[in-house]
Amino acid sequence: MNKPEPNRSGPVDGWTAKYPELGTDPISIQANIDPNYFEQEREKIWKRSWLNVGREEDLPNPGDYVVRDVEILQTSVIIVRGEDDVIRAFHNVCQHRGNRVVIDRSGNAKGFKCGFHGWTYGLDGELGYVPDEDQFFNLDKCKSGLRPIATELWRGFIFINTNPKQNLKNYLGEIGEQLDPFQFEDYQWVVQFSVDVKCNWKIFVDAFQEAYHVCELHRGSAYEPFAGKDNPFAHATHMQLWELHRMLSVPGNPEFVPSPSCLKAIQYGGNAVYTPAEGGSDSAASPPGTNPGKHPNWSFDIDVIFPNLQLLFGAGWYLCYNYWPISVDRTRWTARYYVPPPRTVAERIMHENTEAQVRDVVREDLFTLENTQVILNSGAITHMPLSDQELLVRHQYHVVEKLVRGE
Amino acid sequence: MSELPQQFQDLERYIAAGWAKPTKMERWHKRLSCEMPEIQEFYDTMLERLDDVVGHVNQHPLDAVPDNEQPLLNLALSFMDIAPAVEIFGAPDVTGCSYDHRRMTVVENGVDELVW
Repeated sequence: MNKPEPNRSGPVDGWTAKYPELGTDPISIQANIDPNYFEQEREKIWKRSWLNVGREEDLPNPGDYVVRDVEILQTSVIIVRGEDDVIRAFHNVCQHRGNRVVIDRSGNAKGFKCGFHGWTYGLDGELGYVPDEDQFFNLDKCKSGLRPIATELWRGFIFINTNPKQNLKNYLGEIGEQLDPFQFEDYQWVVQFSVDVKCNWKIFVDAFQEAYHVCELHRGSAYEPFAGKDNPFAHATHMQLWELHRMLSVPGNPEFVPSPSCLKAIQYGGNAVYTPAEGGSDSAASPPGTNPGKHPNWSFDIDVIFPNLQLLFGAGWYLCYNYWPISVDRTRWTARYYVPPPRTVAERIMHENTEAQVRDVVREDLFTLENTQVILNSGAITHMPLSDQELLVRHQYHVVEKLVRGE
Repeated sequence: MSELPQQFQDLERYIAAGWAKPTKMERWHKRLSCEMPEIQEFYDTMLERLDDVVGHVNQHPLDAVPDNEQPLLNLALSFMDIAPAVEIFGAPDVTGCSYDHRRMTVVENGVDELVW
């Protein structure tokens, strides 16, 4: 019998063999259900990592601010653009008696006044005015500003860190260098999907860092754009792991025939999310910073910047996912779809085609999460066997475990 | 009656039926509230007429679509929103297993209040 050779886009021995320190054993699911482990993650990962809280264009003008309740940091955070155009973050806590200073979710302000006794802070966090100040004893206003949180930018992404051990550039390392050429400034978000799901944050990330599930979960909705005769299981065309971060490239099916609405979208504006891969054209469709494997049948990249930022890059679009753990079995997630700002009404209509497809397909992904968490909590399985195509899933548990152990 | 240009009077009935909602969330929920025959009929007509509709509204700058033609643009946007129902699922909503749509919030940049 001549069994056709499966198309392996990657190394002959598979991707996992390139990273022998990860092993090939099944992975314990304990990290997804143990509340004590979650507390360790809070202290050793989330309170020491650079966390993405938005992009600089979210705060276009001096005085623009947003307030984020960040449960995993056990605080509320003000992120504000100062009069000097510098973006800063502060704990949203009055240095007088601990009241929450800013109640609004977002806005534009000259400063922040606590609604309890009227202590007033500048956009730079400095304490400017204390009503009836003479009644205090040795109050040093210079030392009583809003408590800052380290804030740095990379390619327009705002990151905060409550206890940084290294600067953001070093933290990102090679994945930052690899993505640096991508023209983020040419894109703007058009739609955001947000959900609050009863599952562990790692299960959530896992759902979006392998393409193995495409052939089953998305069989009816999003299989043919990625998997075809030459690559029926949508094997990744590239994978890379770093100390903390990771990425893979999802293949495109050169024989995919877009639907009538998708063809209209392409006619009106060029690239839609399921535009067929440009087979054999030397990856002409992949933007700078993407498709590092230079595979001709490239569809999109998945880059995971540990622990809370995931970026998906296609030709003419990118998606930004943010993960915010609330408890061991609850996570808030936002997904923003970014495109070059439409220049015409026709391009606006084109984007609507992709947005609807992304929204529908993502709901298939989301469906697995809570069911998985419930079953894991039951103890009915203790370990999960992972394939070579799920290397990024394996890597995440490896990284988390190392950090929790303090290595 | 809305005030669609003369050549699009045949599409008035879709506006009356609620297919020209102004926001993404409303267009999505309209799709979810309908039965397949109605969606299919809207799809078939719009696929036929889409090049005319887009060609017409595309004469205007993106930020200057006249008020009386906004419903026409919204019909085209609704077509894109319902397309997966016809082309993929054969049902108004995602078939089989999918996350409860009532638990997903859709925010349109510059239109809706941002949620965290």
